[in-house]
Amino acid sequence: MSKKMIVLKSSEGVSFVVEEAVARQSKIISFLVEEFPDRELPLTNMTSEILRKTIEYCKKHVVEDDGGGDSSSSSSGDLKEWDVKFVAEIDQPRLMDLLMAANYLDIPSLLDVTCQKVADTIAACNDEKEIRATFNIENDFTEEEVEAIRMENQYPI
Amino acid sequence: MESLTDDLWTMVLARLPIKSFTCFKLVCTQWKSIVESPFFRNVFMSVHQNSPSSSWSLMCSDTIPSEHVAHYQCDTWGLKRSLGSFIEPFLTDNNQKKSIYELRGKVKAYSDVGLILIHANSNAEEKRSLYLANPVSRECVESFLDALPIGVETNEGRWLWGLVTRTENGLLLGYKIILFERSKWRRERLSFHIYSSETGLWSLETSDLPHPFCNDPDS
Repeated sequence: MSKKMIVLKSSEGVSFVVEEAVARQSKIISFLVEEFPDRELPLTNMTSEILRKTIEYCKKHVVEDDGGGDSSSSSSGDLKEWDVKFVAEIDQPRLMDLLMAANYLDIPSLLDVTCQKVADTIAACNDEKEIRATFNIENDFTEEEVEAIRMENQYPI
Repeated sequence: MESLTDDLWTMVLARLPIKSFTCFKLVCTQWKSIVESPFFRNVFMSVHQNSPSSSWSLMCSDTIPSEHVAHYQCDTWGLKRSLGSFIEPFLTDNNQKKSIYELRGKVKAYSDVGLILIHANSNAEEKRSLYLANPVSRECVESFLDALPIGVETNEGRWLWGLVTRTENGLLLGYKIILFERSKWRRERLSFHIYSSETGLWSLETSDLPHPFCNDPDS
């Protein structure tokens, strides 16, 4: 049985041929496919690397609803485990890119797992300095401002 | 790596417990304004609304050593220590800061959302006041009671207190204060004085029990 394929193009101009059902997990792509059938969809703000990762996620999560019996979709427990492994293997900067891609393409479940992974990473930091270092954030406070925040938030820990 | 927008950081940070928010505010100005925004508060509440860990509870005893005050399922608050240990420094601070607390306030009751009821009276005016407070966020509001039921002022030790709160998105909408007489524990019919913040009035409710309620801490 042939399945309808669509073409997604990364910012580097690399084309990815994807089953429509896989790509439709993105609400944006789902919308674009209806508006512009048979067109290549350019995703100019996504690198090939991130687009490949996103497609890998969507392939795993596609729900086979053609009643074929032997569906390839996994049980929810297996899927959860797979998700954990999937985000664990991505380094910090790419995880942020993937989170932004999930947001841009509107893939709620991918956004959820990436947000959770970033949250877990923050939770593992001991203090604000470690958070800044991990996420490459610049400290734009003055000494006085830091002191003021500490004063008004004296949690008795 | 580009930095995330406010919306995306909100989605991430709202998953973490309240205790870490001070730390977040110290990261950078962007994070500080995110954590202090009403939008963040709303997202935080919706993320945690289905979690059984969204509240802590307290075991109540009349004399309340901190060991009697327990917190459980504490993911939302992220507290590592017993809640009782937050109440003591909170009371001490307030007692020093405000003349209204000239005479030490006592914690009378606890609600499941982490609020406490403080009964305080001032030396100067012999005025008694009730306060609802959150010892972790250190917020405190006065509860205006025109009059306590007869006998409470004179015979304080005879009464037991309870507190029930109604909250939405972390905001206190209303509360009820319950009082009942210790000496009537063993009866099959119990009477409660109930104060409602919505009506501003005390009412008397009675309830029939199938068995005498014998859990008197004094016996």
